[in-house]
Amino acid sequence: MNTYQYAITRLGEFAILIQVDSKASHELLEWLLAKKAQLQVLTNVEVVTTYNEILVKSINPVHFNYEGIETRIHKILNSSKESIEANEIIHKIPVCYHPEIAPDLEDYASKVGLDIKSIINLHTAPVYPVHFIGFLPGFPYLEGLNSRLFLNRKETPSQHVASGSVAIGGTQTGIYPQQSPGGWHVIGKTPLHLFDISKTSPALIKAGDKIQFTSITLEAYNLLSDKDE
Amino acid sequence: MSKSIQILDKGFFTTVQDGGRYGYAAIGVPESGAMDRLAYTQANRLLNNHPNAAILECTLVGPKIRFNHPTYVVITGAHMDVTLDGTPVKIGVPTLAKASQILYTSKISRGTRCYIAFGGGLETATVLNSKSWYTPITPDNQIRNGATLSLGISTYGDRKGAHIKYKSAYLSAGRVHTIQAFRGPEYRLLTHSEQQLLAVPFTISKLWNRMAVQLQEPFDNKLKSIATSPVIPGTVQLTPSGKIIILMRDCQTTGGYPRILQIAQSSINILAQMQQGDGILLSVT
Repeated sequence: MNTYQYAITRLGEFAILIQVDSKASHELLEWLLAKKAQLQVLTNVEVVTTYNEILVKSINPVHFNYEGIETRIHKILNSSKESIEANEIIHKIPVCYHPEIAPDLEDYASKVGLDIKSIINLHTAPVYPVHFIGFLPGFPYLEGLNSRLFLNRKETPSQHVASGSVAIGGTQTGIYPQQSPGGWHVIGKTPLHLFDISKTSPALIKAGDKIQFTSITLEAYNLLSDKDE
Repeated sequence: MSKSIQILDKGFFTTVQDGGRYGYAAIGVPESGAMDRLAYTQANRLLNNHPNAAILECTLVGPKIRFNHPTYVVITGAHMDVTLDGTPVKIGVPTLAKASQILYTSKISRGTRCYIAFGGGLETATVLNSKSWYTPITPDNQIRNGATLSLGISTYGDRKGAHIKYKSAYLSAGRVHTIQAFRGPEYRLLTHSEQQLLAVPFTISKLWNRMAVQLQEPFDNKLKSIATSPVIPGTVQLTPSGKIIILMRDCQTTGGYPRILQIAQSSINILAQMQQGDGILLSVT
């Protein structure tokens, strides 16, 4: 397993930030998740990873001892303990790419200079690794969007992006688990619920999983989606 | 049967909050919890409640509440006039309300958020380890008129609450509110003169809520957006267009703007009591 150069800084009184001196990559993702698993053993903290950072945040400020925890973090980051088992989870996400439910699809298609069929082919081809969850509960940050689909975010964000919207913003693609304001171009919708608080593990997709989009018809979408929405 | 209260009028914006939602940041769930943790903690201590008991957080205009059973109540945080069937209730002093008495509150006169705690705490639904309201994690984003809220079992009558003299951090401060801040991860990317410019007074803009407080004055800078990275309440973001955004308790778990500062916990509590037009002076250490 690789080792990485990193810097540890404090983020206020009750959190520690580990910044890895390396760009996002599949190897770094594996390393971050392996270290996250080890760091979670520390008591009274929760651990968040992003592309190249790890946040260790106190969940009980009364018992937060910065020096003590920093020493243990160094020890964990420098240990050469083997990686956790490889994650083989691939979520197949059904998406309906149809202008009737994807408000930005036609405008997006003319801006990137592609027809809808080509957009679907390019968007459904890759298996996207999930680097982390952020922005909204259950929102996956994916890697691997085809560069022909890149398009800068909207100048003015939409106030209401519907739950289940599959969208593209800049070099990234993602799925909105809840209705939210957002500046990405909505090119499709999934009938799946990505975040369900009634489940012990509310997020369907987790960091380290992979996802692949599959195209479904409007009829299939209507059949699969909740009638009350 | 458990004790309860009824919300006759919700006021301007009233929610249920506790000490925050922890353990779900890695799946994008905000921390939430009472904005002014000092006022929140003191309210529970005064009533001998569990330190994480749920209470009401009221913004700008307080609610009107009917007590269905004899209940101890205490008010902390921002200043407003409170009466119990016309009899004045002192801020920071536990008061016994009789069954069917009504608590009336005025507009908040100093500060922004006030806290109303009840003996035994509010027994509203726990979602992902917390009773703090944050949609879509919890169904409602504010209390509804007519809602009945259950209370836990109070130990205040048996054993007195903590002997603390209640004092609000915000109300005790002078006219200039100094906000203590530490250097954030991207602070070093600012030029020396930009760092100096952070020392001038700033004003709270019209954008202030439980997610963030945006400052009025533009701050010219050459920093680029960063790869999306972790943020927490108190993180100060600087946008390429020059907006300074101070993240508050309901903020997202990640963000793509440079994190120039991190506000001290005690100063987050002070910011929780501020609103549009209030001035701050950032003290960076």
